[in-house]
Amino acid sequence: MTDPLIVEFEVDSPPGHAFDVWTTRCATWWPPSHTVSGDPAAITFEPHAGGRIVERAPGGEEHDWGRVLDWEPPRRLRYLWHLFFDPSEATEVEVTFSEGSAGTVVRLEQRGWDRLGEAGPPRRAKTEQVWTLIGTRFADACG
Amino acid sequence: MVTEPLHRSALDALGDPNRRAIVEILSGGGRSVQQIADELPISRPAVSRHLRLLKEAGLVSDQADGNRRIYGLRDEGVEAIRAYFEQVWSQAAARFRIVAENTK
Repeated sequence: MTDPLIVEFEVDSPPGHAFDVWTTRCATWWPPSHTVSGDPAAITFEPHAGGRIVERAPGGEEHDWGRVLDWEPPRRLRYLWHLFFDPSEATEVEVTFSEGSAGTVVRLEQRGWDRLGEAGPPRRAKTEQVWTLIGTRFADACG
Repeated sequence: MVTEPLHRSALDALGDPNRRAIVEILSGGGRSVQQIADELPISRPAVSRHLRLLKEAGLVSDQADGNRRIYGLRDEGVEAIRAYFEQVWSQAAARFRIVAENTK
């Protein structure tokens, strides 16, 4: 069992603002080198459970990154995250925004790593398709 | 725009269909370069090149077996991918703070 990945940090602004920046201005802070296009026009969280997380490339193409599971502004957000992977191999990300001495404590937990351990063996046609789609463009974008 | 170390990591490694195929083959157990090349439509030198990248990315390790080397997945690659994400999130967190603290 691989432990969840936990990242915690504090920002000097209220939780509501932090939640908004996280979800509505993602393209301004997510490292562009870790996107499919390398230079996304927008990264959007559809603001409800079941909503898509989508990168929009400058040319207008859309790349699905995941799905919103819980949408609870301004305190909590949980989503499935499969950027670089087939959706069936998604990990789960939970972000909480709580009041701290300097503003907001942002705590991110990413879990479900063990599912990726099974990603290798089966040569599933589905996986292959998605990989092919992401593949070359992604490699080009990243390096 | 992009920095060198991250490219040489899991991303670069997983962005290529041949390297993904190699990772899939190795998930079935250790193999020599020749054994891997036999299963793929690419040359042995090409396989070696991909293995070198996968090794740098932390996804693959190798060990000597007589006069050849056997390649295998390192912790099934999972820990390497997790470490990769840790790097990405740290970078994202630093950028997030700057945006959140300079906007209203």
